[in-house]
Amino acid sequence: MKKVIVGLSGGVDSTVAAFLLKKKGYEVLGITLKLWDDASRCCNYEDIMRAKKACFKMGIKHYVLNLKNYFKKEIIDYFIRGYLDGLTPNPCVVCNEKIKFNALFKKMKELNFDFIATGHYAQIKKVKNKFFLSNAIDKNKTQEYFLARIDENILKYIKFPLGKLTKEKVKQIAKENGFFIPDKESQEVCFLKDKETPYKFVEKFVNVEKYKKCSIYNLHGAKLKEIEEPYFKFTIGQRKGMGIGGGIPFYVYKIDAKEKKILVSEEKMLYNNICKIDKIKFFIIPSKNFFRAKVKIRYLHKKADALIKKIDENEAKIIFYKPQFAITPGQLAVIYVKDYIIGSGFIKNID
Amino acid sequence: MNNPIYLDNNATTKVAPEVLDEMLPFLKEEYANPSSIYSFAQSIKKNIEQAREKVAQLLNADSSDIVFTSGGTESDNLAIKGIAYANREKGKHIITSSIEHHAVLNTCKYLLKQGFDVTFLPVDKYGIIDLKELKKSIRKDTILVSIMFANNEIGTIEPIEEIGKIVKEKGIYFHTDAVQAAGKIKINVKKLNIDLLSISAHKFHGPKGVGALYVKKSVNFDNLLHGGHQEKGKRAGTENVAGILGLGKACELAIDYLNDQKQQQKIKMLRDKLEKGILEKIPEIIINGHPEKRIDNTLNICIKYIEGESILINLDLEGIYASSGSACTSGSLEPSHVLLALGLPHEIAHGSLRFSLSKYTEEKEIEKVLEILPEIVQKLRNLSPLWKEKKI
Repeated sequence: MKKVIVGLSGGVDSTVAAFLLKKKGYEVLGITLKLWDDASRCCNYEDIMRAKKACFKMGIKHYVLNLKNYFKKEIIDYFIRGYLDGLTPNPCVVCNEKIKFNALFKKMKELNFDFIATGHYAQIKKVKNKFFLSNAIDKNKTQEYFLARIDENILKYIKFPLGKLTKEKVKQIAKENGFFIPDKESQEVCFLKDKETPYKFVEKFVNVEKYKKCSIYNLHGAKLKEIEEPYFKFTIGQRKGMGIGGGIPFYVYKIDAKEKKILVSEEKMLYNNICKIDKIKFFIIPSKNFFRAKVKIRYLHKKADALIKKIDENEAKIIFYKPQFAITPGQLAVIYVKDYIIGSGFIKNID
Repeated sequence: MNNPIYLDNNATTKVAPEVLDEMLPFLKEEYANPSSIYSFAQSIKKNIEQAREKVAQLLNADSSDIVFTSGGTESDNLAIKGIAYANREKGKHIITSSIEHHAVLNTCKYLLKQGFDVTFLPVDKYGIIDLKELKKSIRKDTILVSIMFANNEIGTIEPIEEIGKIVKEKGIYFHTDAVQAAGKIKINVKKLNIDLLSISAHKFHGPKGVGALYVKKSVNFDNLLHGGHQEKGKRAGTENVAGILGLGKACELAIDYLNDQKQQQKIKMLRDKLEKGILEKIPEIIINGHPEKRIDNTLNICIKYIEGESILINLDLEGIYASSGSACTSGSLEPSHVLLALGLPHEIAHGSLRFSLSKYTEEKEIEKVLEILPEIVQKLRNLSPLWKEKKI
């Protein structure tokens, strides 16, 4: 019997994932990662107990791994630093890359298991002996974007039992088998409390006074206003909250952390064709320096056609065929060929 | 799977068959409320008082100074809060150590929030408190010194006699959490100048949910639970009769054990065998706790370059039950505050593992652990980047 470790959050998706694997005849072991104490969902006592109870029900063993130190260092610190640097970080992407799957993979090896699994909506497909991430069949739920940075060596050991199911179907399975279904869907970053903005979160860790006051400029270099708020309260593409009323609406175009400047522009200026990405990671080595692909620049972005140009081992340039709205530094640009993820990099700047 | 090997006796112990036999009638036919006046109840009352005698005997205390509680945590709370609330006019300063059980630490932290002042004494690398520091910390407004008898994680035995002398001279109350010491080492509250002492039945083959607090008659303390007149008004609530009788029987067995050199030698011999075997078979091990001043059943080690959590899960899958750090309700392991207080760096404290034996531990079980543990450690170390780095 093949053995699989399932990462359980206490939510309906991972529970059903474990249930389906068990039904298929795998020997299943449940593991919940404790990442953060003070969170809205995941890793709090209720969630861990829900995961545990689901395991009792399925008759599988369950352990909790404490990864709070790593999570603080790799995710929370990264998140805070990102905002202070004027970026919009993506903690879920980085957590999947550096924490979640590594921890499960490590346990898999330590315990001589064969596979790891989670309740993510994504598929892993084998093409010519290589493994690639691809979207789930539920187009509204598909989460491959968040998984794009997972190490290639780990991919072939991963199972995503929900990849071929719709969320509706998953809920139905949970219901039919007496598992807990929460009232509302969890979408937000796990360590943010209900309705807590990233800004409010960052505020808890830094001396805000030091960052207060920023100036708002237009693209012609004219200073429009000085405000009391720190620059990291704003995100690219944001329209409201700057107190510039009347006339044509202004949007946040760029955040200059060094100068504590917010650049604003009309909406049309936020559509751009070119951006640079760094920390690039490719699953296949492109045969040409220039190649055509599709790129997703944020989770809810619709993949757009682009040319990718590798600059060096760390950086690449993306040239979109059509201008894209609010290309945001700090977010991950995920590169697809057909439906397969072939690489990614973090957006550095727009040109 | 083979018979599981239970080496987590500092967490809890197996109920002795004699204890269970003692308890059963009181869970079945002897169900009267001991406070009632009819004879059906009076015989139960008599049994409770006999159990109290046995507890007193284990501690060399007067039986009228024993208050039954729901366990170690309640005893610690009753002692510390009880003293603090009753003596706040006299002073608001409490001295304890940094390696206490959470029942003491968190009670003190709670009192901090209530406006009390608490000194947490540091310990040396073996976990022993510094008596000079203790003397220095005592102030005019100090009302209580609470230092544990023996530490639950590393087994180190504190200099209770010396502390008792110092504290007595100053006219301050002395409480000791003896949850890990009771039934393992001889305790004489009178000789040691102890004013209050906590014990818990399930740590020495009694049932869970029952314990006792020794409180010397002259001690001025407040109740935590108010209600009926049970326990001479010091702890209200209908008695946990079966539990109390179980505790009494466990004390009786403990007295026998403490008078039986052979049985005690056996546990120590097995613990030493485990310690020696691990040191021989596994490189890069740190033994925690005092080399001599340590309870006989406890072995706490740090296995460098790997995580205690990983070892525990692997041992569990092999049917060997040990512990690492302290598990919270969800089962998530927190780094041990005790090991950190010894000055161990975080990453080493993370690799800690505690084996705690009982009189039921058998030699072949220790041999089995010595066979399996080195294999697990080697496997985990081969997967550990820190270990590889070190070897290069």
